Amino acid sequence: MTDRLLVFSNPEVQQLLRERFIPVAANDWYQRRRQDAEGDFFRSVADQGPRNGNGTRQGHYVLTAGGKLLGYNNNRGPERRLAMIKGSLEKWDALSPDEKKITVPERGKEDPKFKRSLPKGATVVKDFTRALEKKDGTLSAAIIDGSTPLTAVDHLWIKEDEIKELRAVVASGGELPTRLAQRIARYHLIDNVRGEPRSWQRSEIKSIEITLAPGGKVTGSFHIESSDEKLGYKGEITGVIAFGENEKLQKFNLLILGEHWGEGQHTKEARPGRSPLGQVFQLTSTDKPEDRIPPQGMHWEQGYWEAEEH
Amino acid sequence: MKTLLFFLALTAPLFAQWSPKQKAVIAEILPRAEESAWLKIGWRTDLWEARREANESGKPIYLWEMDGHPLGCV
Repeated sequence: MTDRLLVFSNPEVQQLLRERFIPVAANDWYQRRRQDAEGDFFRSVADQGPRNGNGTRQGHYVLTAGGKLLGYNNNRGPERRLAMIKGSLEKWDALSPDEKKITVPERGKEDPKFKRSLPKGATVVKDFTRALEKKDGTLSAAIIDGSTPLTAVDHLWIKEDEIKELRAVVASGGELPTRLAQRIARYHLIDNVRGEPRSWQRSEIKSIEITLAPGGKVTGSFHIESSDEKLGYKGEITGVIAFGENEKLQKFNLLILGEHWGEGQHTKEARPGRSPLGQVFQLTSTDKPEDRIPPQGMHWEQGYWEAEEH
Repeated sequence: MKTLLFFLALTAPLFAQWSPKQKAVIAEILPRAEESAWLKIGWRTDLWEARREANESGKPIYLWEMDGHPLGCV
């Protein structure tokens, strides 16, 4: 997240990446594992740099279409990143035409174990999460160590048949279908503002109630807690789920306010005790690549889709 | 017409959905303009397609690779 603000918001970095490069972002958890041409290609690039082991290969790479590594950096300072970018461009300029222009082979069959795609007809809901603080009875973005931590973003995927089921509930009123409620609870009611949290186990969902009045007004509550009580999240849900006259989903707006406590392996430095956390869910288009990023909790795809069963 | 009026009566409260207090906290939670500036770069998400595009445009690839997708996840 720091990269987003410190490096990629820098106007000089932005201009260079837009004009001189093809910028691409990828999830290393999948890329380093996939057993297909793309995985082989990525690993062959990473092997030329310091990330040449079996563990994480995350970082920032500059490479040719043919796979020659021109630069690598995993430092979050804009100056060092700019130096890497400019140094890589100098190496690029010194390449022969044959090294710059190649024949890109066919991609071939992709490894389904490590390839996630938005199902046909599926809906994407963006969920934003921010650490909050309460002052004089009012919730506002928390200020921690003199600055406001960034809002985290993830994506909730809902299949086409689940939308149909949801439409019936909106019309008549009732509980949000269990599968969707459990998916939201286990994979999206999370504190991801300091890094990547683990998803919740089914047994840790003490309660999740999301009720729709006829027409789609949403009220609800949840209580999630680890067995040792060191990690948990408890709060209230309000919102609206609405369909248009053409039976298309028009709104999936949720506001979730609660208290979160504890930290995980990759979410250290939690505030002490229980701290306010706020989440906003909003329907989004699927036009831009950043809107089609798979949910973070989808490493095990079946587990994500069938959250109430596994 | 009656159906339409009934529909509007049913859904009108939904479109005026949030109270001023809720709107204020939603504004606190959603990303501020400066937090979204990094999206102006025009990130692609398909490395193989990026290879083709780089080859055709005569540019190198800048790959942002994170454990957890850089454009989502956190």
